[in-house]
Amino acid sequence: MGFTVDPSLVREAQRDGAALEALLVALWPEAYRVALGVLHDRGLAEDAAQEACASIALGLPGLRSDDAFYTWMYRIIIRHAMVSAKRIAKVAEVNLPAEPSTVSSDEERLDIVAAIAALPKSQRAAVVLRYYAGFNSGEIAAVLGAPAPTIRFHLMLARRTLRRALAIIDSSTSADLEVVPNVR
Amino acid sequence: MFDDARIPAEIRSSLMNAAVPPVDLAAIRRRMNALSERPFGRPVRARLALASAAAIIAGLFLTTASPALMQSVEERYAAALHAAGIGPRIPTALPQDVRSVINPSQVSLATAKQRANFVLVPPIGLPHDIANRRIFTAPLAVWSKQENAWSADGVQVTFGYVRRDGRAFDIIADRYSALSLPAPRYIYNVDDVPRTGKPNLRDRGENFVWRNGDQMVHMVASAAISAGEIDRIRAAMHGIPLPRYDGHSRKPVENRVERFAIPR
Repeated sequence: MGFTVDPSLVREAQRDGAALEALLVALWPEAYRVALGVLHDRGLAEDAAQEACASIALGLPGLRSDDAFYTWMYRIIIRHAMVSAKRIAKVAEVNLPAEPSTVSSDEERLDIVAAIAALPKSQRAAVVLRYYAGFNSGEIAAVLGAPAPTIRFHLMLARRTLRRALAIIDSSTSADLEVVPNVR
Repeated sequence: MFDDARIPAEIRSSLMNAAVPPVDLAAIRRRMNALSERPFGRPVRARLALASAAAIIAGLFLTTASPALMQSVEERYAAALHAAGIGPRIPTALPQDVRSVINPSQVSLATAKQRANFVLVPPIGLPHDIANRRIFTAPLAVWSKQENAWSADGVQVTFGYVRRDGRAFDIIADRYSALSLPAPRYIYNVDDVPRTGKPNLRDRGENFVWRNGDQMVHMVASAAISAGEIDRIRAAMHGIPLPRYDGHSRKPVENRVERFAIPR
């Protein structure tokens, strides 16, 4: 798992307002990136991350074990992101912006972001937690509240879809290169 | 060339390189206030569902002395229930004097036990991630068709719980009445109700009703609490499940009294 915070800060934040603000500042980038990974929309991701931070701040005093913090935190972030994703899916006509600035200027990165965006929501969340947050399938299962074999199945399907999508992108990029006139 | 090894690296790289907007602590604080001011973070439609739950399951009973008493909440809630085919229309708006009496108040468990007109059995067997609990009591508003007047009667006790991830659910307890049965199997959630027109039924939650002595307990399955968790609470409380009927249309009953509470 890549993201960590000082355990003493988590404990302190349960009692102290200043420590809570420090904790929110520390986890904000992670909350935003995870939400962005699921939603692929900068505005929606910021909105979902803020909601998640508010829920985390309100729920923190009731957190009994420091060990559970990360699973609990990611569960809240993913839940708010999924709620936003569900909301925009219901609207149906929502066009996910494909602005390059959303993620990166690198075209390959955009390609993979676009490919993730095309995945079903449950697979998106599993992919973000596996490949961005570095969770194993058991940890993802704890976050998403689904059995670990189901998570592994979702990841297998997601990998297959991503591999296919990226192979197409890659081959089309190669094809573009091949049509460049040979100057020799 | 993309391959399985590059997929994780690309995903991580994409998100790590994403421009993160600065944290807006003021906005987060505003959202925290909104969440804590909202009764347990419950949206309007959920409150309406609870109103429906209270309306439908809190009790229909017959009395020879006062036939056709109808108790109710605010007009719009009842209108919603009426439009949804699951409740009667309120003849007049709730007057302020009755409204002030029946407003729910937050109390301690000891006070709730004193106020209840039944032996209050507190819920046990709750999920392990409860972060907050509050107890509310509220008398019920009564509309007499004979006297064309409002009054207040009885007490409903609501246990409101918030889970660590912010999800909230309620357990409603009031006095058992055999004539309120069978209870509906499902409670229908409606969108915010327009003054006129039929509200949209959004979804439904399974309704659980059981008895502990002279206490009747009502819970509705939702995203905040599953049917399995509710059943575990019932089992821990040694509650006796009460009969339910399918569909959202109430069985026709003459001379009934309906008991409503103002949603928190």
